[in-house]
Amino acid sequence: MFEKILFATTASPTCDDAAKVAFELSRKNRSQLSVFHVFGLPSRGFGLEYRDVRTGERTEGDENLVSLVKEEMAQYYEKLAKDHPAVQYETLVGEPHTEILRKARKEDVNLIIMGAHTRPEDVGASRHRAIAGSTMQKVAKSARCPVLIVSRPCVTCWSYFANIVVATDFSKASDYAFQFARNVASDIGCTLHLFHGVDVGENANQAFIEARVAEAERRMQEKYVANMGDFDNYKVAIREGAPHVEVLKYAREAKADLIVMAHHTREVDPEQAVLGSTIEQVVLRSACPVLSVNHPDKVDVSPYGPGGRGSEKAAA
Amino acid sequence: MDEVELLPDGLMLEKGRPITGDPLPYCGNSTMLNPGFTLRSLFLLLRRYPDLVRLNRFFPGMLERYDSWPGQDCHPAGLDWLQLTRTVEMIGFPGKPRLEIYTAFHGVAGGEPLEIKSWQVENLLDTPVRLGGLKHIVFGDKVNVFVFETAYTLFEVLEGIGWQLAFHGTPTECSLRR
Repeated sequence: MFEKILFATTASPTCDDAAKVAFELSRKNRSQLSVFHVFGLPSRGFGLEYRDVRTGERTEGDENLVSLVKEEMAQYYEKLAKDHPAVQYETLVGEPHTEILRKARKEDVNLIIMGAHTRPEDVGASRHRAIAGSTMQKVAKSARCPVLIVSRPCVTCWSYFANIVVATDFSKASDYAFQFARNVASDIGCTLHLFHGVDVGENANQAFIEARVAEAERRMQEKYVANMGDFDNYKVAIREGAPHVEVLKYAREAKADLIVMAHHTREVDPEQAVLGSTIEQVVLRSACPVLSVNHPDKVDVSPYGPGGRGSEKAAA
Repeated sequence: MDEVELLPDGLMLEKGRPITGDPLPYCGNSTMLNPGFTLRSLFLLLRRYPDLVRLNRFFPGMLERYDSWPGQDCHPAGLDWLQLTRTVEMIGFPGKPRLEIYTAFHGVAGGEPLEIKSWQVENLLDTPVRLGGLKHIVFGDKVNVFVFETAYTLFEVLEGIGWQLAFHGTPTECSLRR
């Protein structure tokens, strides 16, 4: 399904849950897996010095250090890589999100896998740090391929998923998320749940709510149900309320194994989309992996392939 | 500072008298949890004072599920109590120097803090709840953490606990296909 997978990691326990999914998924799909770790911030473009991202101290990042980190990383994942001899390890000194995006573009990867957090938190401290300024946010916001964010242990790995929830706001980016989710659900043979949360605000009357829900139902039919092709294992759900709350509630009810969403709509400035967007709220709290899709690139997974059945209609 | 007492059955007292009307004026009062106050007491409190449910978007959903949860013996082995803690942290890098202040609701086992995300809310209901101190961390120095006595308002208690419980609402199981 995915020819090339990029697993961006800190090679520490914070990424262990994501590592299990990355190795398992690439093994099952016979994907080319790259394990990629970026550390420090270069102080000068071509200098050897870099600043440690945690302490701010300046250290010399020569080739020896880079190869030492690479060796440590290989050792850390030795057990998981046992059944995956073709795995490639790479380390770099640089700004993590920039280098991850650069590598994904250069290698033309089909999927990026990341943990939600890049450093161990104090117990309970995730409420502040998990929201602001993480590498994951920046990558999910700008990546051209789907980004799978794993923040909790995922016991059912990809091929065994029974329920995929795709949460849509009817934006263009959501159309790509839908295409990806439908293709994956069809390939795996699991149920696809089309979900929309109608945000009606605090003081809406019943007639207004019903009109919004009816409008959402119409758009759901037009945009997605009509473009299912011959895939018929799907359900449609529309709920009123705060979108992130309703997505999480529905995911629990539907026993979701994966939530697929667009990171932000085209109408929103990407820079403004980082904090407080629905997907950020969902990633923060979801027990199952969340997949962020923003671009049409790489949404056509096997067996559909580029130009496959139904893929072009939803984007229209 | 005005104080509000929270009883195990969810009743609130001010100066020893039960609060029967609008609870919102008491949100700024410092809070005292009476002995025997558990997480279940919090749900009883939300039932008794429906206006407080609006403080967190996840409270309504949790209250809907509350009736289907067990009525007793919901206290995981090895978890001594649940605690609300306030942290003041000075951070110098990366980014501009800043001061972060936040509350965290976590477990305590053998005197050590414990992440509780892995438990479902219904399994924690009969675990005692306590209000902890204020931790002061300077520039990432986790060794020399200072701990001070502090007070929490009713709003901070409900909002802090509600935030954490919102992490516990996702699937309880993965349904394997094969």
